[in-house]
Amino acid sequence: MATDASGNPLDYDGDSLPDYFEDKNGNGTIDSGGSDWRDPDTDDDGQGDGGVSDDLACYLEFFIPKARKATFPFPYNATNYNTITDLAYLEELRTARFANLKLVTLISIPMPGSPNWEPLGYGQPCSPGIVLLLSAVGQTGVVVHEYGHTFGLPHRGEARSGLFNCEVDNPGNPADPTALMRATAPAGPEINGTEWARFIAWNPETWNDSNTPHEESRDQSAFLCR
Amino acid sequence: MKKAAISLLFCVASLFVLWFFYTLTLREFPTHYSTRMSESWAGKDNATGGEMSGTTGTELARSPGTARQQHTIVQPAVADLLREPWRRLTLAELASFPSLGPAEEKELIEHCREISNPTNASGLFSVLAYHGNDAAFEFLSDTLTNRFRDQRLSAEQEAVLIHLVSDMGLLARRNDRAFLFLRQGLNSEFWRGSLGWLSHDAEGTIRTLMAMTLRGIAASGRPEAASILVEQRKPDSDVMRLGLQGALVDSAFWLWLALNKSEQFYSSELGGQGEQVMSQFSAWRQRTSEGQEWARWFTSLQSQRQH
Repeated sequence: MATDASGNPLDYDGDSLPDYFEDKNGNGTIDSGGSDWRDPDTDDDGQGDGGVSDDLACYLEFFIPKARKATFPFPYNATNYNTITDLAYLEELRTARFANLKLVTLISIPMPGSPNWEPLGYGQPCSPGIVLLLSAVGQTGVVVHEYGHTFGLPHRGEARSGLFNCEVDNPGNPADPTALMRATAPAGPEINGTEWARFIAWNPETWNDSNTPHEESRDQSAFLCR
Repeated sequence: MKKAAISLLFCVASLFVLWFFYTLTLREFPTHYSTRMSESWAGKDNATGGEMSGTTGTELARSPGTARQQHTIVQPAVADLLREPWRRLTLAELASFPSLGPAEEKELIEHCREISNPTNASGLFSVLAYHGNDAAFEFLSDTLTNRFRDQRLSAEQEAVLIHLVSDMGLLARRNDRAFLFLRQGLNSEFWRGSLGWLSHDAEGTIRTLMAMTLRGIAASGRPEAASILVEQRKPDSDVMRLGLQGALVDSAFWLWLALNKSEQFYSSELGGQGEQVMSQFSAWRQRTSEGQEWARWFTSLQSQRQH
């Protein structure tokens, strides 16, 4: 490892990642998935190289198995839980512990003074429940985006006020079309260092419980993200 | 020489013809109005199946242009609104919109009257609801109950009018008549008797109007609204008979927000952003005694259904 006169590792491009780290095999060129030791912002996203807000190469694999049942159990088989027009039904369904992921036909909720809210999916921090539009399952990143919310990732570029303990600020550019956690659809496939750290640490509880119908409350210490 | 003179004469004649058409058309209808509005509105009319007759691009293009010449409103926000009266403003935009004096309120109402398709006036409706007073109430309540009497509206046009009911709650923050109107709207018979337009699904529309009435009561932010909402939990209320318990819980939440959070928070930070609203709803349901009580009640209805 090359160092400067003070014994610090050399960092030619000044991006805080030492040259030996950015060019691990020492061949002087960019390796697949790596960053350029001569360029402080290899992917030109304006977030530098290697920081918590910089997109990075990462492989995350998600499997969505076939639904266990074609219909929700009683009382969630009522129309109000499939064509959702109220916050109350949406939240009730999300917290229902019969499954982590519930697929519905429509979510269109009136907001006083604003147009109806029509999301593709809905997840909350510190809780493993997700409600998704059936028609959105195939869209790039929608499932994983909502999964990101369940362990406290807000949208890219949002600093949250800390309503829930597990939420973190998510640095970066809100308008970045490549970001998985972008607020507006369509989102891209990329995640930054902050998001990566959260994704690999989350180990959600499995909900397959008909005896305890609801997540009664989100105990902040119990659900504190690991 | 003769050729040059003819060419010169031709140029002068062409310029005169161009000037003549300019004075006939563009002066009367400013370019940016006539082009944009005729295109967008014509598109909207097509989208709604053209069920409201008599709303042509030309007619619609004319009204803002001529209004600009005849009326006196000059504030930029108002001018923008008149340019795009169909665009619903966000809550943040509504909050920062200049307040309306009686004369301005009257002018905006006149503009509204000139637009025969409600879809094309939804921006004006929301501004009148947010900033208007008595005159706005009279106009908006007439719009809901009388103006489109016996007309068959498209689903999109109905949706605009239905939304107007919850917007009426914004007006009810300072207007007692609007609040009284909403209180009456908690009785389904009120809507059966005053639903002006012909609906594709009258009973479904009445149910939706009642749900929006609940949200309007909440948006009023009036302290007395809390007990009105609790009263609707009685099994024999129309709200319960029509299965609107979800809308009732939502309204209790919206009222809590209106009473406990600043207008800045309500309009700018939440401002219809669903995910932020849901976070607040989730926190309200879990952490406030009021929210917990409403959640318990809502959940208990499910177990009642089970037995």
